[in-house]
Amino acid sequence: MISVSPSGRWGGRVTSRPLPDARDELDAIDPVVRERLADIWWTQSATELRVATSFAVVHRSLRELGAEASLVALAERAIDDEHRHAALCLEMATRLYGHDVEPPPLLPTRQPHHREALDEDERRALYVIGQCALNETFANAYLSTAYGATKSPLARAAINELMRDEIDHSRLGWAFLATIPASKRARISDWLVPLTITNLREWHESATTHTYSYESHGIPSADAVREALGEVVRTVLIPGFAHVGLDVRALELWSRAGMPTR
Amino acid sequence: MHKLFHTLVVSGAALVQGCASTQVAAAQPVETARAERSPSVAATSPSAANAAASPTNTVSPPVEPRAATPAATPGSVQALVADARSCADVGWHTTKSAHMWIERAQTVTVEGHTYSCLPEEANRTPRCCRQDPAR
Repeated sequence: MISVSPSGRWGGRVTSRPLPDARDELDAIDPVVRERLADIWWTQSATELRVATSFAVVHRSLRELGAEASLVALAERAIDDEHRHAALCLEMATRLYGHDVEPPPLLPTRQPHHREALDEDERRALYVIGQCALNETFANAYLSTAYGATKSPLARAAINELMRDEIDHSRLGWAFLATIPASKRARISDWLVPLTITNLREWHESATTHTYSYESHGIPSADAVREALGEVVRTVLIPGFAHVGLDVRALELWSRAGMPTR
Repeated sequence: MHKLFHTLVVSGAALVQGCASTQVAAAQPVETARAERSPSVAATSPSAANAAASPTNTVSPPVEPRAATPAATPGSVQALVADARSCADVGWHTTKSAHMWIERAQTVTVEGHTYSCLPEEANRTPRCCRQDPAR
């Protein structure tokens, strides 16, 4: 079982509202496609759960930085949010398989180290920025693309539930950035290119190498994801970093050169 | 995507509205501690790229006109990417990497222990995790 906290966002429930029954919708899906969709949701359950570990790092970092209580509380909630996401994805897999399925195994985790950070506080700040302002903003780009193309009421409901939380997770990063004192902005600006390149590389490797597309079922094509990731750099990340007072000229230079990650 | 800018950035920054530090302060001297500690990085780091376009060597608040971004050259962009590798090592795990794992978990038994194996991301090695006996 994937544990969900009774003090979480929806009081122990996995979603804000029950997913639609969708029995007719599921019966109409080609069995081969249905099996593959189930595999994808089942695997996403594992990757959602893994990110709970990332938010544990973010939560600890914010606490140790003495960040605003509301941000610390949101980071703590995000840990449980990822458990709920894992449970939601498992529920989607179960419905698509048409029978109960075991939870996926825990995946090994790793995280950035930022060995060149000036000190522990800078490293903690980079964790929050990298996981929230960057990674979760990319996640929102992915989900927006998935939501926009899907015609499946069941997939739309599931994606909508995921997005409701991912928006908050991203906002956490932008809120934190807005609290960074002016005296530290130059150093943080210095990190924007490395943080963006390494995170975009993760997205390219993990979400843009597949050769199929089930867009109407909420699984976008690799091309659509790649395009969304690039667009979010140009229209959200760069103007976003500028909005909170950071120097984005190096990031613009890299962006205009086609955003190479290797 | 333009909508995402407001949904995420503007609304996010507004969560902490009222913090003194959210006000854009006067231009601050650029700190280049990372470059200072590593001269080889100095010529190629983002701070160098940022500073190159600014004759006053200051960070410009977004509300003020900023110096133009320097023209990208293959060398300057390669340097940025190389610098990223050295100082940020890896990015955070993504949650939407399900595409890489179309196959259901395979199990293997080694020395009496059963493991679930998933092909980890492309170009990487499979990951095998010991199964939780309680499941």
